[in-house]
Amino acid sequence: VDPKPPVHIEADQVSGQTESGASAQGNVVVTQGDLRVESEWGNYDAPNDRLTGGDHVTMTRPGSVLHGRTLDYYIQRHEGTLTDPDYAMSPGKMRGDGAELLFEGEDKYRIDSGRATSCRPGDDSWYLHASTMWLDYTSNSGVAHNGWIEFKGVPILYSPWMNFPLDNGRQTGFLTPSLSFDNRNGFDLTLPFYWNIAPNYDATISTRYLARRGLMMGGEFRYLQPGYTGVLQVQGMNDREDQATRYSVLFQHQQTFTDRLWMAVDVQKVSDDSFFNDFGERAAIASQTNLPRQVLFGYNGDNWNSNLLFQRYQTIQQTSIPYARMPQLTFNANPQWLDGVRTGVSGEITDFTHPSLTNGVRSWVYPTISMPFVSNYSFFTPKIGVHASNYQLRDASGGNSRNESRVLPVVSLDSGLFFERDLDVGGNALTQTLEPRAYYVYIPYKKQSDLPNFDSAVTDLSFAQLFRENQYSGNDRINDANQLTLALSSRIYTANDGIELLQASIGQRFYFKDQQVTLSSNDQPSSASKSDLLLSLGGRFWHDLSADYTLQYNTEDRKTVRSTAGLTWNPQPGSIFNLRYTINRNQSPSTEQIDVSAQWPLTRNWYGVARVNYSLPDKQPLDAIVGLEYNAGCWGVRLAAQRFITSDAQFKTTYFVVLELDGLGGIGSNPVNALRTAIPGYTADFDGRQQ
Amino acid sequence: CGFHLRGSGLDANLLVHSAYVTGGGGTAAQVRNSLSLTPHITLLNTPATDALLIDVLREDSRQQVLTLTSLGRVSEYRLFYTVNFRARQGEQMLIDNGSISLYRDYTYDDNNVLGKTNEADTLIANMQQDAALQILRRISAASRNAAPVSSDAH
Amino acid sequence: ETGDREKPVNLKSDQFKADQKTQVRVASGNVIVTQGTMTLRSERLTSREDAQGSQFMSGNGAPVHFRQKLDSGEWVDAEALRFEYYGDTGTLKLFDKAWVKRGKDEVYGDVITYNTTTEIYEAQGGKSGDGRVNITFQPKTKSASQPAAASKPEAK
Repeated sequence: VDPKPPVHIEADQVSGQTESGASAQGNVVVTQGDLRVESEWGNYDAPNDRLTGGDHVTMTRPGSVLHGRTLDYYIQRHEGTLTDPDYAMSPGKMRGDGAELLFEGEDKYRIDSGRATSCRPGDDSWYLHASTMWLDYTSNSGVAHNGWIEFKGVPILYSPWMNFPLDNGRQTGFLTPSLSFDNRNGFDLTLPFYWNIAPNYDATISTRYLARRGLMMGGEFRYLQPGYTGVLQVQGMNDREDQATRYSVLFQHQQTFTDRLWMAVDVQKVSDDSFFNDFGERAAIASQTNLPRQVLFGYNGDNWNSNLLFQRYQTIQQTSIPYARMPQLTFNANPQWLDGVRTGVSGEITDFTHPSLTNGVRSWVYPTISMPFVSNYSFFTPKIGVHASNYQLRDASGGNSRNESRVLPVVSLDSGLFFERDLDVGGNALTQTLEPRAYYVYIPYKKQSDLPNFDSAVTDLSFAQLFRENQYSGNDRINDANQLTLALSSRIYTANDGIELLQASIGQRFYFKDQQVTLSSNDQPSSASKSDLLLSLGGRFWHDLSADYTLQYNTEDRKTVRSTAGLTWNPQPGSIFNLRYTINRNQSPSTEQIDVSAQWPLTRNWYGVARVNYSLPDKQPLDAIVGLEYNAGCWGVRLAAQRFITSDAQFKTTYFVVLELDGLGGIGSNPVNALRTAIPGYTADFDGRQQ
Repeated sequence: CGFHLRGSGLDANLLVHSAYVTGGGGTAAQVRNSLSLTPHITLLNTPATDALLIDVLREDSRQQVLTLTSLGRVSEYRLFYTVNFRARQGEQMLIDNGSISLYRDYTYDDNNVLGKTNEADTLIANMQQDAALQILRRISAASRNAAPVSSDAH
Repeated sequence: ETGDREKPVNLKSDQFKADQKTQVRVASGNVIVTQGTMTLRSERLTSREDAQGSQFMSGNGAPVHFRQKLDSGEWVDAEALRFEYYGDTGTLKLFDKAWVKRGKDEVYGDVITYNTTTEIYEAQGGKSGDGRVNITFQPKTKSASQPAAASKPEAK
């Protein structure tokens, strides 16, 4: 097979010697493989495979259309020059012009004193000008030297060295800078530099200038290997305003040694309590009060597994510090001895340390046996177990060491039936189930008020907790129980693929004696005869409308303890409306909030985005973001303002402005992350939306 | 009102008698557990050609702040759990890239981090059970539809 | 080859008519003219000599076929519906659906003038045909930068 396709010249007139080449005049068309060059005149030097042509040359190849005045091109080597180029590349839709275009190998172009844009011909909204620009479609990377961006005729950004992806892949080089303004730091400019070290290593080094505080250096290094993956993030600065060096470190690493043995490391540290308030995004601010420093090893046996955890926390912005677990060894297994008999054993040994509270080594073991009787329409599962714990306690200072132990039998009986019927709603076949369930638990009372509370908490009453033996999480409190839980739930799902559309459940627990075990000794034992009533309803009503409602109702004093109602309407990507009401009187102070968030097209190109999380007791929004997005095809603008509460109960307002140039990335601080957490279902990219 | 006793989860008309489940996560364990409890299905330790092959490809959980208190502290977290799975029977692909995503909300208390983390674990275990049931229900629905096609192409 | 023009010209045809007065000879019916390595086949051929004794021939065929060996050992083939040959300059003019092939390179056009001594051709798109000239260069098997060595003559 001939490796190189022949060169074919067609013209009004041709003269020359067949071996040595030809010169042609008049509508010259030269083709070679998938290359086609049209010009008024053209010469082909066969031995050197060199094609020259002139005055209005058009050179097309799959993926690029080039126009120019004169062409001098070595076809096989893909090298040469084209003067006065005007080019359009189809991968990544980059087009532009320049003084000269140089071919530097296949799919590699260099444009001298040229400009480039991704806007359609005739739309000159923005151009990237550069003294020299390389477009390398083999590695899909574009580089511009002495580049400056002209937007609607106004130069808006200069950068000595700018780099942009040609297929929005990962790119080494200066990401476009982001600037924002907020009431804590004033003007805030971040200039990230992305370094694509290798396919599975990359780093982002960013210099961030904060008007009130000075210059902060930050770095994020990520690695992704078959056996291990991880990220290291470091930020640091000398803070002018607080006269202190402030830094934050985060190191997360997951590794699988064998398919059974794995490890996960999560170490985070900040220099001071208000680091996140000053420098972090909203979600990071609110939830960062306890930064973990932990290493976890895990081993998965055939039907057993075990974990070894070393964990300590750095606590910021509050007084109470969680216990450190240095270490905690957990184990659980369910060996299969007898057919039809389920045996399981779990256990744990933990060394809890705390600077002020009682320290101690707690070890417990909890073997269980159950006999599940299961048929297609019913199940009946008696289960018995013994929870034995031992505490070797001492005061924080080491004195007053004492031993405590607790052994409690646990008896439970779980049973349920499955009813089904077929439904036909609007022509589609559905199946509805009716699932009554009864769950009895008996655990005798054992005084536990003199046991410390290392890792137990009262869990919210939910359908998940209704069918658990112990209403306390962790292992320091095991509630005494003589109770029966009754629940009825019904699910509707599509007959042909079994996808759950709707679900409704109602349940309540009936106590046959008082519950004496409490979390702390100064809580009052409860003498309620039944728990709150639980109701939950939810699902997709139409393909784009879904709603859910949960209620926890105290039947004694006839009042709602906790309730949430949510609605989501998402007719198409780019149009979403969420409404959520929540009230929780279990918390002190109780919270009652309305959360409305939406992203909606206002006109063909304008989109409105908004979210308000309004706290009724405080009569003020705790988090509000409002913004506008304009999509003009090859560029777009997003502006947003966000006002939210920080964990020192003050408010922080941040203004985002970003100009997104399709193919170049964004200039200005990008509110997309904030919008994505604020508006569930928010779609960021413009292409996905219906115009 | 038209209800009659009939199995749920992997019910009688599933034409398969043995199943093999791959996946190291909690949902995969729950699927194995439910299969071993289903009367006429034997859970295999190694794949067999005519067995039902269930691959639980990916399970992960993610947590996001849901509501804040007026002091700017987290008052509720929303815990997401997503499972990707695939089910094949012999040569026939029953469900190619099936995915299930569930969420549970729980109130948070900064002063009891360990207790609340344990509560989150119980919610994850509950979602794993729920996901396992939904996987089995989808597989039995898919195999009920696939069965007639393979036996008598109409 | 260059020596062809000194070689004797002989002509075979079905019919042959010579007009002594005008020195014009007309041959018709699968006329074959050979001179050294050059052969020219046509249906009809008229030829006459000028004062210096060099031949002028013209004729047509369906198609006319021309073949000659080059100094480099390669063969040149050409065809057209009508031709004119000027013995003094060794120039062959081909008209209507003309093509010249040398090795694997080919030229198509309405009018091709081929100079047998300089091996240079000129091709024009005439008004009658599609008005275009086509030429194809086969890539050299060796890298283009080496001098083009003589390639083996192709068996016809």
